[in-house]
Amino acid sequence: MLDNMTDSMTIVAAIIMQCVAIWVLVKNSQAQRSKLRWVIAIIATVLSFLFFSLTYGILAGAVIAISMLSLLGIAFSLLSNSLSA
Amino acid sequence: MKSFTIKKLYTLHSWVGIVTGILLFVIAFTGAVSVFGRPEIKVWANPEVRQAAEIKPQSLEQLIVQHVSDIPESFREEINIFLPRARTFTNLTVVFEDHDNGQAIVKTFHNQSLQLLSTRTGSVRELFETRETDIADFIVDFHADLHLGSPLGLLLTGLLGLTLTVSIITGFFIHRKKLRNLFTFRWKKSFDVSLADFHKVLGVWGLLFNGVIAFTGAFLGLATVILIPAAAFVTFNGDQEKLVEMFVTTPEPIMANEFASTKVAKPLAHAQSYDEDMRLELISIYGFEDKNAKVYISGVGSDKVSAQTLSYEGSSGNFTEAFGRFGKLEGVSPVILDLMFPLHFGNFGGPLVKLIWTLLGLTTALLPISGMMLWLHRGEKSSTSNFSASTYSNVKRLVIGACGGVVFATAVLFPAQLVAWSTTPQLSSSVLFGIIFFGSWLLSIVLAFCIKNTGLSSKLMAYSTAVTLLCVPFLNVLTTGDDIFSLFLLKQWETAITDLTLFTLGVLIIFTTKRVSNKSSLEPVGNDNSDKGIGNA
Repeated sequence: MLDNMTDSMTIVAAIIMQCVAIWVLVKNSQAQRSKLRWVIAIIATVLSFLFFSLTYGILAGAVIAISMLSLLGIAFSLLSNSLSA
Repeated sequence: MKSFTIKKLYTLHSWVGIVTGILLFVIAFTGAVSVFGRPEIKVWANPEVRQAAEIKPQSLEQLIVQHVSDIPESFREEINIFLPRARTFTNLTVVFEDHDNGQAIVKTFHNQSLQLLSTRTGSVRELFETRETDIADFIVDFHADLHLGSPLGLLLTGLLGLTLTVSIITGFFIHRKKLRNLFTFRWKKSFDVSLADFHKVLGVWGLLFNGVIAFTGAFLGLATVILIPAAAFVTFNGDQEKLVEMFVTTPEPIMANEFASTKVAKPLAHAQSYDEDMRLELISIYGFEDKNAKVYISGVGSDKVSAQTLSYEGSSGNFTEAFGRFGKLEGVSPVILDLMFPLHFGNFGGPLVKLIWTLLGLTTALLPISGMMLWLHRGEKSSTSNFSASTYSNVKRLVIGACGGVVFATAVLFPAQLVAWSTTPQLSSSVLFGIIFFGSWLLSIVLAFCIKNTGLSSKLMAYSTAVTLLCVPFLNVLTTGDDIFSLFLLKQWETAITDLTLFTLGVLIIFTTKRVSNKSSLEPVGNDNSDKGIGNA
């Protein structure tokens, strides 16, 4: 377990990684699909899981990573109006 | 999958949603609020315990020894110490139980001074049912069994978990372009297209979360009503107590009938340092002052996700082992059973997880309501619909009244709690909150049917909810003298953040209502119906 400051920074890093992953997927759905974007999204998602696991442990980290991804996914989808652009 | 099968699934998805949609919204919405019910809303609702209290292990041990000497020996069989501001009780509460006669003595202490506040005697069930309650208890209990009690209420909520599972599975198969649905939200298109996109975005992104909540909710609702009796019938000829004993991980020790002082301070000090993230809730002592006494300390929020129990030898205070609620059983089932509770309640990773669970819980609530609105909107416009225009209109009013009403009624509970705390402490809170909650809810339904314009009734309900929420921080200052700024300075986080959240929600509701009504008034005459959802099923 890390100290409080490092914990907070790791959580922020994990959330940023998930935002990157979703943003890249949004771009993929708007523009021509590219494999590079998929790779970036997967790497960012894996990194976010690792960051969450560092703070909460593997099991809790995995559950939090999945639920946070769902929440950010809904937020990005509702805000981006992707396919109507 | 064949189009005929998909059409059947569409029909099933629609009808399950229409029949259970309102109740699902009510359960999911109150569930989302309940995530912060204990201890956050509970602490907010009880101004006398808003200041955090740290109970020193040595002081607690002295307190128990002092009060044990005042009670008959039979009440020493089991002593449960409910730590303050943790779950059920706001003040430090000690329950002395006499198993042979089914009686208990409940003593409540002031959190800071540890002075005795009250003593109550009676049967365990009676004492639990007549305990002081607040809006946190009211909302959490309403979510669990709709205040219908066991078995009816639990059966109903359990079945709703199952119907949500059916909706998720059928929704999974009928929406084939899932990847496209992940990011499609055409806000600028017509109302029903936006609503269909909204419904699908919530459904696809929230698939796993909703699945977990539905499954765990069905399990928690049906466990005591159907699953345990059925399992007991198969394995123990219907003896449920024997079955429950098999699951119990904190067995009572066999008494040595030999005196030895029981250590409380040493185990508590160890438990406090065992896992910093674990929030301790309960200390159970079996066979107090017997050589074979056992001490168990339980808490939630550790890295293990599930609730953990730490076991100690009573006479020495030495730590023996840590295990989950069902951790002593063999196989995979205890792991799954242990995960059921935290995965449903979101109480395993601190405030961040609670926030995620609340927000995702709100999206779960919006799923059936968006589906129903879609069905109503398309049914009203269709020339070949199965029902008359008045039927659609009445259902729409019921949806607005029942769903908007439960949100309004929940919001009203907050100012009601403050007023009740400052004016009528002698009145039974559960009765008072029941009258206020169900009264506001009923009033909303009646209003939805009385006002002809459904848009106006929706707006009225939204603005009433917003104004109620906006009033809460000011009412808090008037009744308790606690304002947001001083609460932050005094580090009374639960109260400060609850006040701030309610105020922000009020502002957000006003903003969203204005935005949606502007969009509705600009709705083009010729709607784009290219994307057919469940409405025409």
